Amino acid sequence: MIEHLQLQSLIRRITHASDNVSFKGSIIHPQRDWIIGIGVTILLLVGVGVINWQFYTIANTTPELTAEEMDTVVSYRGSLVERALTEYQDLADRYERNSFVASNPAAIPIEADVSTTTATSTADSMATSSVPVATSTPSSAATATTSVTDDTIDESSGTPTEVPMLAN
Amino acid sequence: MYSLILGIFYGVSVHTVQSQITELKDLREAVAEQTVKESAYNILLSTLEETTIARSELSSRFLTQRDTVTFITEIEEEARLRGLEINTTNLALTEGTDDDFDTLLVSFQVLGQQTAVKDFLSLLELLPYHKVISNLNLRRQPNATEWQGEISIIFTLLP
Repeated sequence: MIEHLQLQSLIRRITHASDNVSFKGSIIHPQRDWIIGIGVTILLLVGVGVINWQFYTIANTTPELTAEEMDTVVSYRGSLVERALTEYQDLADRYERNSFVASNPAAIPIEADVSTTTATSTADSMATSSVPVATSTPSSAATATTSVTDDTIDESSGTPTEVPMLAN
Repeated sequence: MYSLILGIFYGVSVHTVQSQITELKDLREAVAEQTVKESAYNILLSTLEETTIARSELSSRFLTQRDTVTFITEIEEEARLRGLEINTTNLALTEGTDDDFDTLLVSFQVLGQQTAVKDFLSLLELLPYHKVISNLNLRRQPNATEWQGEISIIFTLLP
């Protein structure tokens, strides 16, 4: 049972405690309200500013692609293809000029004595032999003569030699 | 109390907006990637149309497995027309990797007059196909007037 004096002491303590509070909880307090208002405004402005800045940055930045993504972009090197085609066309032309089958598929080989064309360089090995040549490809026969003449030194040794190219 | 509620609401709002910004960033990157792919696809389509002839010509510069028999027959006929004795000594298919084509190793051995042998070997060098000559030998037969030539060529095969 609380006695009268104890009750008075309790009330006094509560009353004094409210006196010690630095912040008085009155409804209208201009200074406090101004501080809170300005603080909240600054906070809002900072937040909105940060968000706007992020939107602005994203909207004005083009995403950079990684190297892997860039690999998907196909590059066609037309000049390289053209050069390759030209080189192969040149090869094909030279092949057709020198090939018996390609230049004349229906050509029938005719036994011809070529000793007269090769006698200057290969008299011992070629003079008595006959090499079949197609009469439709005189350029090949002429080429053959040239290659033998250029290589008479190696012929006697019988060692592997470098093969001369055919005429273009 | 109201300040606390407002503060929490403000924090949640900022967090939500931040999440949406991150999502927007990811979406923009995805759109950019798709745009690049679409652009590459369009370029590829136009390139395919423009290069039909060039690709056809390039393809003709590669042997295919289907052409192999015809090709070897033609080469052997070429040698015979030159009066050479020819043997196909090796014919080996090597399967390529994912980034590489199959290859076909063909080896010929020819026997005949020196000029004809040299001409024939030179002719093989002129074959208008994508190839590598891996071996080439030319020697005179001992105690004979004939010459022997050996050549190995690695052809790239189109699938």
